[in-house]
Amino acid sequence: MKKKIIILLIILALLVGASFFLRYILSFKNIDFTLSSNTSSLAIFNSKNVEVENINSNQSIKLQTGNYVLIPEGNKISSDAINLLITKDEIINIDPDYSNSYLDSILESEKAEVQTILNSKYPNIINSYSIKNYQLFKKGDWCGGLLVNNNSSFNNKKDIFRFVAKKTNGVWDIINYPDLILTSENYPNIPRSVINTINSFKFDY
Amino acid sequence: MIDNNRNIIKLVAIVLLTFLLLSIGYSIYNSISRSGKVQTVINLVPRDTILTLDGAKYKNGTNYISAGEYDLIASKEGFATFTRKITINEDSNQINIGLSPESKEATEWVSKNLKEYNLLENIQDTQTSIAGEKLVNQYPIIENLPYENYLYSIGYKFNSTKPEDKQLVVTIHTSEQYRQDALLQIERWGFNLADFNYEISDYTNPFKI
Repeated sequence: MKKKIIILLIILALLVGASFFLRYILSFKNIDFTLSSNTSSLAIFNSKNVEVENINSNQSIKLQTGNYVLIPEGNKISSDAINLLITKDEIINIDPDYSNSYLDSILESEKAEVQTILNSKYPNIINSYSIKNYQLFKKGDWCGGLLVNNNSSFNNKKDIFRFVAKKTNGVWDIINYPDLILTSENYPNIPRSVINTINSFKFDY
Repeated sequence: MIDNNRNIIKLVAIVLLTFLLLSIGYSIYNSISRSGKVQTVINLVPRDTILTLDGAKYKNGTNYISAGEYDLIASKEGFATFTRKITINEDSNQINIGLSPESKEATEWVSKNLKEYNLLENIQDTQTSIAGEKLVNQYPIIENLPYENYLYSIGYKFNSTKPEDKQLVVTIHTSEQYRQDALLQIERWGFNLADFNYEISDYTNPFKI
């Protein structure tokens, strides 16, 4: 009888262990990472902030279901973290935007063209305004800034307008009426991150 | 001896059958209990923050929560309690909260654990905080309105009388000199300017003429 009980307990323990092991194995999902040409490596951190993988080419790896933070690295790209929730097998394309430092390095070369576009679209009034806080976004194909009235001063503040331009097929175009505030409803085609940043621009007199 | 072996085989068979039935039962229970619920990831900093939705407690990590609207309260001793109305659905299935320290001990803890807050900020960049989801549907700005000082006044109205078509419009009354200050006030309250429609008195956009 005692022998039977021991055998029973061993079998139960084995089965419980096997079920936990099976559950553990099944929690892993196949994730195919595709890195853009600018991305030289990708560090993968789990929810406990422990680096679990570091890949430097397109490859398929196994990750447990759960929350991860991806940190890309590359010459031109931003290292802003990317949040990833894994629940099933999937393909993940990593194509980060350019870094602020790279965008700053190409800023001046684009500014003249954007000024030309503004001049051509608003010839009657553009001379009354100056471009301030001009910035490139995403992959250098979005830009925006403030149009500040040249007669504006601290004691006589005039309206400050926000503009957004998009580069398509190598050509810039202004895609909104310069306005006091950009809203998601009025400009659903402008990325939210671009809208938020341009809305946050402040001008100090 | 043969009887002994037969008994052992029977015992093993019973155990296997019991285990199989229990596994099936557990799977069915899980399927039923999780049916219709949204897999929701909760990230809390500090990790032992107490989070409740309509009074029910939830833990850090993956939870299964029925879709719907909830009163969220996140609290921990020494930190400012965070409350907000939230909506859980397939498109909004992450809750990311980092509490602000109030006590000296809490402030010291935060300074030693900034890494956890930075990680949460990175997560929030895509999911945003729960407060960033479709504010126009929740209208929490109304709690601050109407607002008036000697430079400007900010109010609100709805641009339709039909409840299903209701859209909040933030109204700003001031001179050109202080329009930017009025918009800055909305930002100071913690709201995203891009989330609202505006009606600004005596304003004509010269770029639209």
